[in-house]
Amino acid sequence: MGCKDFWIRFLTGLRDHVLGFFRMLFRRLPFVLAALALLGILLSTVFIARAKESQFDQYAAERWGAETKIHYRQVSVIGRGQPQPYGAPDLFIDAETSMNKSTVIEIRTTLENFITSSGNEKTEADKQDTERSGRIWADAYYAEARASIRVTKNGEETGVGTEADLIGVAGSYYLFHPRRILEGSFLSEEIIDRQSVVLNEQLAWLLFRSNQIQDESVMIGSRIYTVVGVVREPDAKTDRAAGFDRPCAYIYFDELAFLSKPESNSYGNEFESEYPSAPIVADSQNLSILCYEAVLPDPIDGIALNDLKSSLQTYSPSEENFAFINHTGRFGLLRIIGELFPIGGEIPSLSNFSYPPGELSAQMTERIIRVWWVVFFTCLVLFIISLLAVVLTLRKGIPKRSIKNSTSDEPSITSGEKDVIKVRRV
Amino acid sequence: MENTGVQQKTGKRKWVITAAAGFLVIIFLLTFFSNTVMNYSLPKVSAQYPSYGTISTSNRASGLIEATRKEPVKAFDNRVVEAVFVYEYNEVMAGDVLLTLKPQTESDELTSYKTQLEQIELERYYESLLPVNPPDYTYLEDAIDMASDNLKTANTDLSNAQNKETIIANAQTTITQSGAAIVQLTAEIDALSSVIAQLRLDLSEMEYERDQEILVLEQNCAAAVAALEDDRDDELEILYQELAVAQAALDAVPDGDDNSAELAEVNRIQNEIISVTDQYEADIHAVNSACQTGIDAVNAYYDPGIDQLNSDIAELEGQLSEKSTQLVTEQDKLERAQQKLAEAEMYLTVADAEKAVTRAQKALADAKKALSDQKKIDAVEAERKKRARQEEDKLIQDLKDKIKVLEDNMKITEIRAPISGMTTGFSVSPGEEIMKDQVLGIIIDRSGGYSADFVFSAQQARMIYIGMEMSVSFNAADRVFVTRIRPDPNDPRNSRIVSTIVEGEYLWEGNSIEVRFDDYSQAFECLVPNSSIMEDGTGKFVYVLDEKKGPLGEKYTALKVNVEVLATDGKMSALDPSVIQYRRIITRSEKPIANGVQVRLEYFQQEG
Repeated sequence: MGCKDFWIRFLTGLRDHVLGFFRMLFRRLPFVLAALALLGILLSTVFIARAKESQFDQYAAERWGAETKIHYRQVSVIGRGQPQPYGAPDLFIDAETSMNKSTVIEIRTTLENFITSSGNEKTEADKQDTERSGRIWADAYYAEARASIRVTKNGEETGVGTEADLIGVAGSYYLFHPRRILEGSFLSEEIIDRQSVVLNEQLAWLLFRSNQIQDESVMIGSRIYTVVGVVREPDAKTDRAAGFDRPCAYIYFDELAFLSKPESNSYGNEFESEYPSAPIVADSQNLSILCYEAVLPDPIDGIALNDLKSSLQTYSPSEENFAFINHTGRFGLLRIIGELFPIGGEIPSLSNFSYPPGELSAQMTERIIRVWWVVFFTCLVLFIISLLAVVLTLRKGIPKRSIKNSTSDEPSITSGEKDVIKVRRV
Repeated sequence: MENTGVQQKTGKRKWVITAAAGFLVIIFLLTFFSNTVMNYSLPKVSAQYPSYGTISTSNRASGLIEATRKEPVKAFDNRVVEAVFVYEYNEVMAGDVLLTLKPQTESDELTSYKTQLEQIELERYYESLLPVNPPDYTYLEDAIDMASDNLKTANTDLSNAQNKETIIANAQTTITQSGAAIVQLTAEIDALSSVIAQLRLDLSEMEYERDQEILVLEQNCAAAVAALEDDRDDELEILYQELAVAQAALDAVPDGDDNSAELAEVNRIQNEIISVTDQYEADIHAVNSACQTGIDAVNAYYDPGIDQLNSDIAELEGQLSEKSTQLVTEQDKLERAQQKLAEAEMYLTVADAEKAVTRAQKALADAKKALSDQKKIDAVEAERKKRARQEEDKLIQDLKDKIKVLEDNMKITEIRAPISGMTTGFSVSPGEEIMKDQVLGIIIDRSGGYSADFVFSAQQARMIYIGMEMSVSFNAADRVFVTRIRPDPNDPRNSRIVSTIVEGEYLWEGNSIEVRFDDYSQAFECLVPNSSIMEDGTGKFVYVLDEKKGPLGEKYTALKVNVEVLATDGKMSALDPSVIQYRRIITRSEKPIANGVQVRLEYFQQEG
């Protein structure tokens, strides 16, 4: 009977405690909800800010126009090329589908005319403020490939090598993609040495087990390149998911042309040891540019994007043969909400494009930010409702807890509090 | 006593709890505002002082060696290779056989050309048999005439419509006047007719009387003459009988006899006959004269009256004729006026007539345009046919030339070297099919020399001149000197293509070669790594580290300073020292920073 009484008393006590707890909770529910909602608001704000902050590639306009009086916008256009085997860079198909260096010259000429004619030249005062006048706008373009990269020493391969992504860059690429430099520097816009290469941290460690590898040599294809820098790729979750964690090397755009596969020569192999092999045609005009990006003056909202579209003369709005991206302000609340429509999917034609990792990461970030905004507004609504409930509760007054006789059989919170008081006395 | 002890203990406990809470709050505040916590949110940067050093650089570029003189060996036709006599980098002489081809007896292309030529010639022959009809514009011209007539009619209708009232008034006036005139004339004509009839009656009576009297006289005269003639005849009969007797007597006289008496008798009778005849003739004549005199007298009596009557009748008939003519005229006028009136009643309104004129004008214009257009069309068609003919002629000639070439080519079974040199790129094998104009390989004339093109920036190209010798890092090349500088079509504003001649003994097409010029090495006071130089809309700049000491420790701020790059070698750049000397430059950062942003120093590393 003693054991049975013990268990009855224990369970009764537990029930009393639990019921007491929930009663207390329900009485204090508005406060709890308000606190949770506030926490939700804070967390969503923090996560939104963190997500935005990690996307450095989307703030080129802010960087370029920070100290000028001109409002800038970062825009880009993505084209399609003819895929090639063995990881060779995509080839130019036609003007309605692809971009090449001739397209870039056309775009630059047209944009220069637009900007000059719209009165965006630097004023004399601006020019006198700076010792050397800066450019009004900047651009860059790049293409991707995949190649085998081998370490060389004194012109000879050491046997260490790996497959890696290759990005051929031109223009002010670093402005748009400011990677953290671990060693040396990034490829400069002005070409000093064409056969320069920048490795990312992953590739540097795979090949050399170190980041201090400036002036080392690697062979890409059949050409030898000198390492001028090591960079760290963005490492946010979305960046890793987009592919930034893969080994990657950066070379000048024209050098990609040397990755075209040579035609087979039935006698070439036999005499390769004695005679140099037939040259590879290095015509970068045949290469398809994956992405062309620019920071342009945007005195009227959206005019920069229109200028870029107008400068690409083969662009057809009805066919959407090129994908245009408006980077500046893409994480703003209104843009995020606007991207929700059409609900359930993106425009089918844009899914035909192969986006670079930076754009994929940005799109994933947009989705994450969208989710956190939903959380934010939900918590905000909840907070407001809870706050009203708190005010009402305070006006009614919080019921005071009363200490009752411990011998009372009525289960109440008081019995628990008596125990608490007892604990405090200890 | 026991309660007092408990109360004291309670008071101390409260004081301890309060002190502990206060201590925790202070620790929390210090922790929150400590550098460690604050710095956690600041971006990490590396910085260093600019260094003194040397920038050694040269203007360099890479290119590929190309043979100056090389000739592609192309297939002249679609053939099958029989044998190949060259391999890679083989030396050949001009005219050497490189490949032999299997003979070709037929060629689809040749057959196709011949068929095409035949078809064209056959078409042309059939075309020549067809009749050639010159363009006929008769129906269009007729249409124009018809339209002109319609226009005239329409104009007339318009004029009539515009003058309808006047015309009706005139017609009515004419009808009235003519009607009255007709009535009057009819009366006059009737009167004249009756007068004339009476005069005719009178005339006929008078002529009858005269004729009767003349008849009587003539009858009397005839009777008298008949009587005289009877008498004469009677006498003459007697005389003739006597003459006959005398004559007979004369005749009866034999020849030679004296017949004077008979002859005289005969003569007397004859003279008597003559005299009787004359006498009676004279009598008859007298009778006739008397008769004639009587007749003349009758005529003289009646003729004046008859002439007067005739004259009156003629005059009246003249008047009658005139009146009749007037009557006819007036009747015609009346008829025309009535017709005119009836027509005028049917005239169109002015508006309708104007519309009809407009339609007629348009129809005329259309008809003229149709003619003009048809002429133009025919002219264009003729020109087109002429052009087509010329092109067809050209096509025929081309086909003939091609057929000739193909037929000649079919006879060729060897491909020879066009020039002396070294073969490269010959990848065909026996049995392989080659297509027309396919490049089978290239023959490089090594004695023709080698060239290479290099791409330099426009700024670099300003220091290059034609004939300039560049340094080369390729062992096989001895000399490289500039022959031409031209804008790079890929970037004409900022890039130049420098063409050079490469001299050397063991050069090969396709070798990569690097040249440089204007090697220089210069010392600079202010060298910084390239990673510290950035660019924005204001130009190139660096971030300098601004250090401030505060109660919580040192505080670093990044300050933007615009700079001018004096030189660079790809790793280090020389800056104008006046703006940044003695200040630390931020060489790297964890993430992009902005002007005035507080940063934390990661480590101090001097590079370069």
